[in-house]
Amino acid sequence: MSQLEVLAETVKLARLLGTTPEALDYLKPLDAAQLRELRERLSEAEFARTRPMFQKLTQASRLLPNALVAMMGEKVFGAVLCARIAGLMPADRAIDLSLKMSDAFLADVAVELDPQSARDVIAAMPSKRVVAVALILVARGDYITMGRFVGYLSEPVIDAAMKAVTSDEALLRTAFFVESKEKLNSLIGLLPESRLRSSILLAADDHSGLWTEALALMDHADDKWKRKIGDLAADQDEAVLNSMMQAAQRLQVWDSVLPIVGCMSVKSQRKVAALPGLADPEVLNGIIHAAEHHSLWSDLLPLVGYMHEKTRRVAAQVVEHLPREVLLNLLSTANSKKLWPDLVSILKLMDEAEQRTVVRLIGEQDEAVLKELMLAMDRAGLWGEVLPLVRMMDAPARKTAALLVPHFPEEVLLRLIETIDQLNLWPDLFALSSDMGDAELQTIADLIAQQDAALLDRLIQGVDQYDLWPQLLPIAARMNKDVLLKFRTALLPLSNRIASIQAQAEKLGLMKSLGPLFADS
Amino acid sequence: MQVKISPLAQMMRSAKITSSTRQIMQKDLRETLGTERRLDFLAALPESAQAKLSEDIHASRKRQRQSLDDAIENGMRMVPMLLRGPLKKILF
Repeated sequence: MSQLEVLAETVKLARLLGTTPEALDYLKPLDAAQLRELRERLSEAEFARTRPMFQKLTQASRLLPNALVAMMGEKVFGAVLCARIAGLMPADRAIDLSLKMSDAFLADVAVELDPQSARDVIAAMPSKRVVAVALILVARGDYITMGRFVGYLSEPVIDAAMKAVTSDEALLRTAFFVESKEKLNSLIGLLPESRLRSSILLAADDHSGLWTEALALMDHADDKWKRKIGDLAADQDEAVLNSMMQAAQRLQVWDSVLPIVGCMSVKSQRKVAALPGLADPEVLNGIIHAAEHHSLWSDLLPLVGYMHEKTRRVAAQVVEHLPREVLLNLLSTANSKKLWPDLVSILKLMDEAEQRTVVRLIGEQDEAVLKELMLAMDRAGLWGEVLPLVRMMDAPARKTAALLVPHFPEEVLLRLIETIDQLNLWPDLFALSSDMGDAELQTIADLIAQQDAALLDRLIQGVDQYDLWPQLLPIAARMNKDVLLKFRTALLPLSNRIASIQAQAEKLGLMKSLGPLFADS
Repeated sequence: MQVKISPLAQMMRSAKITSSTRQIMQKDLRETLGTERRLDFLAALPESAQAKLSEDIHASRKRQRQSLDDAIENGMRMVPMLLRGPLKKILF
């Protein structure tokens, strides 16, 4: 339940209690469902309390002709009494009476009616009368009454009313108060695209102040319609999206806006992510707060992936100050929704100390999380970003990674080696190899053995540059003679270093296996 | 319009809440809204909020009662004075 729904329910309850929404501040601890429950029980209790009293009047009215009863109802007893007895008489009689009353009077009755107790009458009301009453209610600006009735009308009747009510403002304001939220999707479906577009443009007009209503409508739409309306908004001038985001911040309803953005197409999400206003730390704070409190990380994280670096850097500063439990939720969502690349895109922009904290936290997760992190980054072609992070983890996590990596499918490992070669990340690989067992070292040795001479040359250069011989030699010792001969060729440019490398091999007790490497020395 | 304040609200304004006050307050809300468990969440509201709610409900009911009485009285104006009383008894 969103904040917007709480607002709509507060307005409706305030009207029932004859007070203002502000005066109901003391009910803030209640959510929208509870506010609605309270309102419905109050209304029901009031009608139940007076039912026996009006049953007698209803029975007495049967003694008079309908034309006279209708006249007396409208001219003498008025809307309040008629509303009380409408639900107490058979629907066909109530309809017959209503046909003898004016549209304006029926609109007065509608205001006082409990739709639930008169649902049969409402459902049987001819479409033309409903439309006529709707137009009067719109002219009076009584959108609460309009919204209360939508759930009791058939789709064709609603369709007729929506066509007759040409004002987009009336449409949005009524939708805000619709009780049967599940009906909103079919109602949106009745609107032509041009009307959806004009409603969005109206909401985005600074003078209309209708974002609350428009966002509430989108909030209740299913994912298909969220995407459709969200994309429609993104297709308009950038000012429309800007206005929507400003409204989300002003009203603090990111909990409604994030799911809309989360349903948008990638093209639209990129437009949202590029909005300059998003780089405001206060705005990002609001967004991240909503993501945490309403479990919307999965809507936010893809957006982060599309943000400009400046915006993402601000997001990183907000995220790095989140408490540990919140970070754990974030990690859990990144893992379950396969959004690691988006999370890492923030992570790499954090200050080193905070980055280390988060990376350690990742390292504390179980083996399956580490595995998914690495495989997700592989799928995104981002091995180069995850290896330095793994290296930053505490020893137990590094050991887990060291034992996991060699068991990845061969195509994954080949991409890993390719990335390491391109980015000269040999230190990151060999930082892991020191934690590997025999089987894992053999896998790495076999993998390197498959590479061409050019890669082996670069490997040797990288190993020598970072003095990684103590890590490479145990791997090389697992290679066959042919591969070692290729290594020996790669070692030729380092002829002045061979004696020192050989000394290290001797120190490690590997000379027996590495003989071909130093055969001519 | 002068709204009559419920005994409960008066108690809330003049005294510190005691457990017996709380019981009266909950009874007051129960009487107003019935004993449905669906409204149990109201018991979790702060006591001052429960009292204010009770007060608002009383005021709203009073207004609704007044509105109904006015409508009935208005209808009765069509009837000769002497017949109004008996007719009211028959109809309501």
